[in-house]
Amino acid sequence: MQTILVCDDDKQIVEAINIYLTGEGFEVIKAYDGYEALELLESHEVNLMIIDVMMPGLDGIRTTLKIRETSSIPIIILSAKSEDTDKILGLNIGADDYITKPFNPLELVARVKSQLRRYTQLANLNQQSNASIYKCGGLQINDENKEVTVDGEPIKLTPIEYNILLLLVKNAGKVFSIDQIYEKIWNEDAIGADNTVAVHIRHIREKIEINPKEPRYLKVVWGVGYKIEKQ
Amino acid sequence: MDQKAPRFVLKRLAGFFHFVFACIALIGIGFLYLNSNYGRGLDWITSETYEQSPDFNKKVQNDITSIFDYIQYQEIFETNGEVDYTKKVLELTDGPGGDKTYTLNDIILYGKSLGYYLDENDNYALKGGPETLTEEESEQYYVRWRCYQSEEELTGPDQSFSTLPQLTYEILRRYSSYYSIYSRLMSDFTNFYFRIAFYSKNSAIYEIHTNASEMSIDDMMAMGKYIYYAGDSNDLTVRTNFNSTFPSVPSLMAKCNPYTGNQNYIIVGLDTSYKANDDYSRAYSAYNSSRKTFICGIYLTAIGLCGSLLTLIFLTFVSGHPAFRDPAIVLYPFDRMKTDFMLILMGTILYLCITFGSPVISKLLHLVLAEAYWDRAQRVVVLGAIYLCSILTYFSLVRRYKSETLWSNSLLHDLTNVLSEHSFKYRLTLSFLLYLGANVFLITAGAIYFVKNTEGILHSIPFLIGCVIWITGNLTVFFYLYANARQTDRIYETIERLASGETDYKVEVSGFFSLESKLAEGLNRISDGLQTALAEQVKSERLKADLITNVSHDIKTPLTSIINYVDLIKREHPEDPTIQRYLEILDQKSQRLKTLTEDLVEASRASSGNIKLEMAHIDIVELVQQTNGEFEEKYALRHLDIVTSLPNEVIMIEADGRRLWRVLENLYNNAFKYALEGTRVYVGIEDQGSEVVFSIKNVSSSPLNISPDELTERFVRGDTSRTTEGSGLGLSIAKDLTTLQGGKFQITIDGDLFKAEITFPITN
Repeated sequence: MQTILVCDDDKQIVEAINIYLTGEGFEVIKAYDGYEALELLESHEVNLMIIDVMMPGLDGIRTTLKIRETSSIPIIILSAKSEDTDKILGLNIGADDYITKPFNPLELVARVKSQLRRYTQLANLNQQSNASIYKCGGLQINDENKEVTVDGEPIKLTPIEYNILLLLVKNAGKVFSIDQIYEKIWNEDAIGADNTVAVHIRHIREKIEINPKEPRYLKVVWGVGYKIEKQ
Repeated sequence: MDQKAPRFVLKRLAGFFHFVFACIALIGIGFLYLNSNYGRGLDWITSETYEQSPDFNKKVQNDITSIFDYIQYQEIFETNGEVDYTKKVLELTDGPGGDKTYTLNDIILYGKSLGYYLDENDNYALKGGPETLTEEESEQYYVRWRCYQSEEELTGPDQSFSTLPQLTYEILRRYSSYYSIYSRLMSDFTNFYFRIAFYSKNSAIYEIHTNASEMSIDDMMAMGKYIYYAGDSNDLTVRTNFNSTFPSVPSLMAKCNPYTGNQNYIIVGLDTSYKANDDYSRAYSAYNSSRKTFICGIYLTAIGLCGSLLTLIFLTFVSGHPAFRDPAIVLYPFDRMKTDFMLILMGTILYLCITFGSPVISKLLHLVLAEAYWDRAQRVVVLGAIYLCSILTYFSLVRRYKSETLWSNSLLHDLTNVLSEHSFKYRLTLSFLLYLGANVFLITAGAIYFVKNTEGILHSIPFLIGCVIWITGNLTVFFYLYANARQTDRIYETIERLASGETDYKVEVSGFFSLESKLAEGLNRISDGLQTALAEQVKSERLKADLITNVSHDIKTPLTSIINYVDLIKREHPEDPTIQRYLEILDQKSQRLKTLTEDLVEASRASSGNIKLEMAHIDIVELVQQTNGEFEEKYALRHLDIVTSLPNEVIMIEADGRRLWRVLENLYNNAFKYALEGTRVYVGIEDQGSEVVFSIKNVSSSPLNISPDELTERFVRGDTSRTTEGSGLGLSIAKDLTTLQGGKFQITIDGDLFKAEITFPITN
């Protein structure tokens, strides 16, 4: 059983998260400020931590910084601050994910699971290396048996979606415009290209991303094209 | 008082020395002028000897010419090398049988009777002569023969007639000249030695003229200066160490040559040690002493000028101060006059002095001075008057400058004050009247002058000065008008810029004068006020945005609990349908509250401009395609068709991709929410050359009885009943974000047709 430390000064929110996570079979330890969280981390073996930013005493950012001095467990920040700068700050100081309040319980659970899978996979998947396996963070494509997994979870894609994703993963970091993708996948000139590619991309995103509106892997570069974030 | 006394003495002393030095400079200049080498620059002082001077060459040339003259005079007045007083010199006739013959003696006696004499002291120059002639004396005779002029040389028949005194004078003049040359070069000791020899074909027949028969050619050529000519122009030998070769010598030789052929020579030697006390030695010492005088004059002038300049500088520094290191300035009543009035007054005084005063003083000086000095005395008086007036004016100006009243205490200053301190209307009228008056006066004066002095008008100094004043005055007026117009232009430009929203624009006040500078300052104050107001507004907008952000954070936390616990209740699957319905409402409204808080933050940030944009070159066609892809399936839920018309090309604009997506997302969502179900939504991009226009059109499901402007205001929605979901902020956010990125956002409503347009400039 995996243990998750939830830290928020709002007891009701901690309780709600507790209910969701317990329902999914996790053990939950509760803390209501940063100092408490640090103490609990010392005394318990914790697999993942969910922490609020704005807390009395030691806030989430400083707590995360303290934890990162000794530990590399997955940390998900859960905050009411939804500005870009807040997210960037949180991720930069060592958090693995950032969820804004009010959150979707299903999304929270999915993200927790994803982080845990990645954390455990990173430990034992490092030896695997195959020419036909493309990896990008938790996203993995095995071109031999046409298998796509996200954090170990298999994903079902149509052949066109698979080809688009493979193209993007192979060229991770490079931005492809709709026309470029169309020409590469359909091998035709993109004259009067319709919404096909954009719709496919959306479908892929819905399949591989936890929150398609805030994609982790398949990013939309608005007005330029699409790319897989290099990780 | 202790400090004042030495200062006072020193000042007087400096003034005295200044006067002395000025006199010295004047004397020095006099020395420089009193010089035979006047007009030759300064080279001769250092690098020239007397033998190189033009004067010397001229003198030698004269003497050489004199030798040849002498040879000719010898023929006229001499027989066998002696003066022959019985020699016939003139034949006259006053009619048939009235022939008269005159010998030299006759002429000399007749000349003496007329009062002529040879002045021994002045080189036997011919002097005296009759003052009036009697009728008998002025009788005209026909000249049959005269010793000094052959018939052929007469230029006209009238020259054949002359009076006896006239002829006597002409003969005596030549006799005097002959005697002068003889005494100077032949009888007296001289430094000038010559020998002229003419040989006939027969070498036994020859003619030699010399004043140094015992000297050989070589002896003469050993002298300081010599010249040797032999032969004629066809076969000429010249040897000389003079600066000049005296080119007239060969022709003189040919003229005096009694034989044919070119067997002749001339040698002239000059003893440059000047043993004999002749006019050469006198000229030599005069030359040297004039050089000394000149150098002395230079020194005197230099010392005088330096001294007067130094004392002038010193006096300039101390002028006006009552004591040492006392910054105070004491002004004399004279210094309190208006500056320009004082200048005109001094000019007038000077003019009066020169025209009326100086003749009077000169006349007085004539009483005590010899005539030779009158001219100089006149100049000294005029110079003195100019000097005195200028120095008084100069020191008065210095004191004015020191007390800073030079400009402020002047009529011109008063005039400009009058012009600049009154209203524009007053200024314009006054300026025009002045301008008109000056022009009318000058043109009338010029016309009158022109009528009176038609000839030589262009050489008339007053007329030219008048013209210059007239032209300068008009140019000044033009310049003033031009400067004024430029100021107006700048004020206009400033107002334009301020009006167009460039509130931080400031006009450079230093370029303005008079009333316009106040205008410019006023504009700057307006700019300041606008900026302060704007800064206040921006600050308050920021504060508001921050407040909204903070409030929204505080709302979000309880909202999280509401949403979560509603969800948890739903998971309990309550069986009562009423509870289920209530839960549904709770769920919907809490979700709306969530959207509302998020949109509110964004709307406040967008409207206050408190957003960091990441501008980049993006393809708007690609963006629309991407957006279509995002919305296609969503639209299908409400049976809305997207009809797209996109150009098949890349259209680049400069924008923040994510924010522009947000704009499009809001517009698409707006159409999704408010379009009539089952209709088409038209999306298009139009390339208009320099701009690109994105448009989205849909048919509203409810009547749009609202103005387009109102629609972009916050919390305004097409359906006044507010039953649909949506914060009422979408269009407001879209508009603000578009404007922030430099685009234009426009909404048009035509019946039920809703149309939103976004315009961006195209970049290449």
